[in-house]
Amino acid sequence: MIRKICFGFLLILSGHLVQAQEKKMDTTALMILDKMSGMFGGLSSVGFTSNVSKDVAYAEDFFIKEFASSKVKLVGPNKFTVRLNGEQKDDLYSYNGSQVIYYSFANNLYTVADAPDNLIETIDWLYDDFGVELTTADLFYPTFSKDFTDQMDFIEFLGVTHINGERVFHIGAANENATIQLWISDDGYFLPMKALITYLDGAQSHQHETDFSDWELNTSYPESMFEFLPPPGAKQITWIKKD
Amino acid sequence: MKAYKIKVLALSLGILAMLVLPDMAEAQRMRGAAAGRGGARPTTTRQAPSRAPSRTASRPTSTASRQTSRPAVNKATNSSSRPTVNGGSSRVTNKTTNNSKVANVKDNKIGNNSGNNIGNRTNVGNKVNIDNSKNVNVNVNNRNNINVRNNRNIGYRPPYRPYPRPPVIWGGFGFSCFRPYYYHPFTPFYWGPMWHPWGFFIATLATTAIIVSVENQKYHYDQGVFYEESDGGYVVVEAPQGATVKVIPSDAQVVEVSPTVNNYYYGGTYYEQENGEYTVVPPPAGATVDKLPEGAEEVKVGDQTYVKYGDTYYLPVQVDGKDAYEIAQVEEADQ
Repeated sequence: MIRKICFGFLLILSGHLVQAQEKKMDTTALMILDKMSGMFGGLSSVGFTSNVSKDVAYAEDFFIKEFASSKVKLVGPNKFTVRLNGEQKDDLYSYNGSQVIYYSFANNLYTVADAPDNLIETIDWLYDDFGVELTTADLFYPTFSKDFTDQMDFIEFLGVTHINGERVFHIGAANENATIQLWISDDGYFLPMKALITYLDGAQSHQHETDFSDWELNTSYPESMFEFLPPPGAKQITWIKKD
Repeated sequence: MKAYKIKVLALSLGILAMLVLPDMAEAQRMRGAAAGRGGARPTTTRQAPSRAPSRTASRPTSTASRQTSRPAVNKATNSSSRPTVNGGSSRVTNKTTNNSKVANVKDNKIGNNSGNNIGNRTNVGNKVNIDNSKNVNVNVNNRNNINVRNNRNIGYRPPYRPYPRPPVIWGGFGFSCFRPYYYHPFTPFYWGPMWHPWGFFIATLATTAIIVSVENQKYHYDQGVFYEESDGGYVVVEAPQGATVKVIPSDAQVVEVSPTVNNYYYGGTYYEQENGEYTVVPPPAGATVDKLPEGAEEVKVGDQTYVKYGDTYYLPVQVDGKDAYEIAQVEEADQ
């Protein structure tokens, strides 16, 4: 009996050991990620523009590239505004601390939903209940570097390079589902400049690339920026949530 | 004595003239200047006369208002406790409170958000031959607890052919349509004076109305509309699926369900013809209609805006370049 239990423990332990051995974490890369995460953790507000290009399945074995651009302003602890332009999209998401409003400029429609009282919960809730994914919100999570190291099997500092003439740190990460590359500025702020995710889980790999620009740190944004006044003629419709 | 009076009068007139004339003199001078300028430079004659009077007229008043109003404004601004550039602006629009409006895929209450007031919002009844002396537009749902919706009805019946694409999954349900999404704004359609939306109260029925029974429930039917008796009158209810009538309105539209089957569509209700009778059937998924009645409501499902009427989801599409709505199949997704 004891032999069986010991054998069982051995199996469990060996499983963990194998897994641990597969992980490879570069301390330089982790330090840079922690710096970036720590910088976001100390901000009271942040604004930026993100330009996204992603591969979208158009037909079997045929991906097409779609582009979108977002102007994002986040104010701690509970406000954001995201102006989104993309393929047939011209939308606004606005959060004033108690409600999230979606407004479609193209159709002059809006929806209103009572939201949680802080940014992180609201971003999660938007994704879970309404399938709204805000631009690479993961980067702003307080637990970003921990989540990143937990989920990735391999993280490595790939060296210093330049984007638009600026010196950046290049970090590569991978697990069985995706590879992620991050370019983080070497200007003391450690701001992300570019993120490139290559998904490997489908029959074909496909990419999601985000370029960050126009960073505004600790800017004092007026309250009115986060208040939504329905434009004349705008119609409120029901927002169907996932159950 | 008389001469003294004249002197006093002359003196008074003189003082009065001194008080009044400077203003007049100024006015004349300005006008003169403007006219002179205008005369000297013909190209500016048009502008000059209009500018000059406005200046002369506005100047004294503007100086007066400066003295009185400016300090008041400044005081208000400076005394404001808000540490902003101008102490906060005064608004001409009201701050609106936005009410949350969220529902689930299978939520029956979507229509009821506005449904309780259907009867009150529409004044269709006032235009037609119903008894206006009784409160026609009463809030039927609240008073009588009549459920205008029919719980036995089902939202759609599946199409005769399979969908070419996998469904869009949302909240455990798969939404399937044949045509691509093409948004166009929803405007309720009225099928004429004899048609009424759900919840509409009518005091008396036309003599053409007949009684229809479905599963032991008695309905009154008249020209494409089903009523239930309530509180001394009749309330428009959702057409009960399975009800059979002999006549439907002549402007019912033909809806192609499959190459061999057609349905008739009127006022949000689908009828199938058999042996000269028309039976109310569930909406045929995959078919399209171009009008939806009041009581239907736009809802945002993921990235798309559907129109929901009863339990049926309609996808805005285009058919031969014309706006239409395709009846969506919404089935529980396999996990």
